[in-house]
Amino acid sequence: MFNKRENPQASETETNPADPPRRETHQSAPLSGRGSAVIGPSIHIDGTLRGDEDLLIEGKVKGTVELKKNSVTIGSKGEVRADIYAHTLFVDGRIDGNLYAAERVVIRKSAQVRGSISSPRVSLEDGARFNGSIDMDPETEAFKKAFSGKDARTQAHAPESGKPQVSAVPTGSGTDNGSTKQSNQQQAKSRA
Amino acid sequence: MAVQADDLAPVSLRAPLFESLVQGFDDDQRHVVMDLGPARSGMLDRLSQSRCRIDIINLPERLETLQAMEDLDQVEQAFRRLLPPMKGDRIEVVFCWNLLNYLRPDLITLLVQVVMERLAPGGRVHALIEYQATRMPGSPGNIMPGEGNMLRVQPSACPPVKAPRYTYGALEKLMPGLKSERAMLLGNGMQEYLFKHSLKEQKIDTGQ
Repeated sequence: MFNKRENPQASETETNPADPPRRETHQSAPLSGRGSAVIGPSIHIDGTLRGDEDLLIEGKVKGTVELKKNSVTIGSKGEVRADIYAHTLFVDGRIDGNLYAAERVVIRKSAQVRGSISSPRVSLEDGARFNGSIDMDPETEAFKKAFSGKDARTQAHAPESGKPQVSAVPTGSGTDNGSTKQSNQQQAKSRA
Repeated sequence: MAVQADDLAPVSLRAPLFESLVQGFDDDQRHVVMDLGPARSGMLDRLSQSRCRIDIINLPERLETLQAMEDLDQVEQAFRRLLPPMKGDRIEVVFCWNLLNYLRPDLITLLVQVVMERLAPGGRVHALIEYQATRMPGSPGNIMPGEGNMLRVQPSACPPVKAPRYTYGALEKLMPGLKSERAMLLGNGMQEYLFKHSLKEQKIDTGQ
């Protein structure tokens, strides 16, 4: 059911160069340092997903996704009706639910989102369809509750200024923004 | 009347009332705003510099559907379905850009009635409408906050229609509970309006 991708960099080389934005998500913020799991387009899941590795959803998921230490990507074919708890969340596909991310949420222009987002950093590409609320205040009860306990202390990195941060991505950029890359580089260094 | 290429060129302009509003967010307090428009990266960018919640209700996307409904109860239900849970928050500012002039007067009143339930006492509605020209594009163009709080206006290519050119007095009558505070004519002929919640605080169910 889950296709393991033990080496995110390897998956990058398998990608069609004409479609770089989708694969770039795999190299984003995999805190665990382990491989990514993929829920393929033909897979339907109804229930609660928990784990300790990055996840790409290209199928249909209904319920709850809890990967608080990892990145979750809703691929362009993904259709999700669920609450998602992740370290970092990338959305290319369709989602209806409440999204909590300890670090950041990136909404790409192909995304269709309905629901609420709670994360200190949220970036959104123009053209993305969104209806709901975006809360970038890490002091809210909902955010604290989502990442309470040990996980919250290790994952919810508050920006240095104490204020939330966001990166707006111009239309047509096609790839993740520079700040995300910078963040990834910093994380790669820290892992090394 | 055909749309000229020059009419479609994006325009950057100062919007002093918008500037004054967002400058008020530059503190350590939590702020809650509602944008009755599409998700705009520039708006998110600007507001994220403070502890902020932004509710995004893309009404321009649903204009045709809403305008086609004759039963106001049906319109109200459709609008309420789009609203996210309040979670105890009250809204300080509602951005209503290039929208009111595309709504029938009865829909403006209905929209404001629903919004007023969430607007904090003293809260404001910031509106931009086509005003100077007698005709306006058939659908709303895009307006995006940019550098230095400038607004970038991208007109729509839809064939022009007659512009209602609401005055602040006319809008006040259509929007019970809101009082006109300031109005400014912008460089591209749009009018910038600021309305303030003028009713005493009402006890409401905030969904907490």
